[in-house]
Amino acid sequence: MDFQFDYFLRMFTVIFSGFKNTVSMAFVSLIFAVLLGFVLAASRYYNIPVMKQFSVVFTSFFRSTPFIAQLFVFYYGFAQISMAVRSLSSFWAVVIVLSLSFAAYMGENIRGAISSVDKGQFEAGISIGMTPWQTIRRIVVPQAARIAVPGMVNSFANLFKSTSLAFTVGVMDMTSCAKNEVNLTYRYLEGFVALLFIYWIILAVVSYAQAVLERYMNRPYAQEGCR
Amino acid sequence: MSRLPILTVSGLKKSFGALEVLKNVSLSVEEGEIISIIGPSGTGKSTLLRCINYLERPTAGVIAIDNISVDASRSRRRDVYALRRKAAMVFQNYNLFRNKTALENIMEPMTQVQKISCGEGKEEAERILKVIGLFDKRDVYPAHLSGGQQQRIGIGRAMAVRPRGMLFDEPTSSLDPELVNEVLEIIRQLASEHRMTMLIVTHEMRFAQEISDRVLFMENGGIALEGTPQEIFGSDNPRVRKFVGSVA
Repeated sequence: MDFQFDYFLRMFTVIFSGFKNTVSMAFVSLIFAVLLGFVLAASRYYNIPVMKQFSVVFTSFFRSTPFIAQLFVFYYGFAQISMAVRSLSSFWAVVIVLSLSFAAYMGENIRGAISSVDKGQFEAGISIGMTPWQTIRRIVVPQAARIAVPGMVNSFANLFKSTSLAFTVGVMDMTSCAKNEVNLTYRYLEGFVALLFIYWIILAVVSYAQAVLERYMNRPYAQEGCR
Repeated sequence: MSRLPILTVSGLKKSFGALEVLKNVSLSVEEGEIISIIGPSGTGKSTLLRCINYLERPTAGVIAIDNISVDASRSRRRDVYALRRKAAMVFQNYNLFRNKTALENIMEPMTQVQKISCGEGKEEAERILKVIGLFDKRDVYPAHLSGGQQQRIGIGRAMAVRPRGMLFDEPTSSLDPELVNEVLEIIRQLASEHRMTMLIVTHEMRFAQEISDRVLFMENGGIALEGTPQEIFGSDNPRVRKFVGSVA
């Protein structure tokens, strides 16, 4: 068996037909995961009763169980008992489970970042007469964001790769496209190597964007020549 | 000397759990008066200032500045905000907003709290920067400033609050010895040129002696002795003598 380079290149266009599904699942889930992550982090950091306990259990559960098992329980398991789940498209089922699952990681990233901001920053804010919310928005969150970015991008990379499991419930994402094609031609090596390259390229672009963003956010703190 | 007090503290108590840090402190400060608070560590000097600014909620007692009075037993959020706007705090660790430039730090109280327009706030902040001698550092972030410069900006930010009184919580204790003077100089300037009402917690005894109208000696969560600098620093009280001798 040889490696057919032409076929390898052709696979890129085949796989690309799943690009839209993969990317939209990833980014929609990212938005929900970050929003929910904020709620989880805030509940724990500000010790909000009931919410805090919920956050602890939620985080523990979603971090300690495999994503694919969560997806199967939700998509196949809940379909047994819920009409709402049965009528849900597989695309949205994946988005929901990804959002919940990665909210646990995002929440921990955000919580760590908020607690790394010196308490004196908050005190200085309220001491000049700002409300706590004003201080959080203008002083604490911008400083925490810079700390949170590396961890959040890391979690996003995992989230992005986890979208590949959507093929198990029938979403036509990039992995499904590759798999369906090579099942017909038996050229697994060309097909799956091409798939790896595409994931790699997309996340390399994300990493590059992260580097640019971090450089921008670190501006106020970098010790360039100092004083 | 019988002007109306601008700041009064009455029956102030503060406990952290079982630890009683302030035991019934009362204090009255006249407009333009400069008071130094001295005493051993852990006697509640900083806690007193922090309670006046409501960074710590007192266990009991009333804080009143100008026409705003807050009783710990029934404090309303709106009154607490109003009280904080009447006094400005200068912190031991400066606590400049690390995500904002020198100019933005000083503008923040004006544009965010007093709701002054950006242009006007900037003009005023630039004026303050000139007063504290750091106009050339206007666009520099705190991480790129020396401790002394950061603390001068901290004082500038406190001025921007346009307070009726300023609270200095060991303003020079984190500074390298050679940087202490530039900060003390600004405080002197505020005292002489602006007659700003000030409460200064400090371990700089010579400075306290020279600048203060009145000195409070705190011990065990209360004001053990108070008087003019001459009275305190020339006191026969063995506790004060021992303390002043040990830090001077």
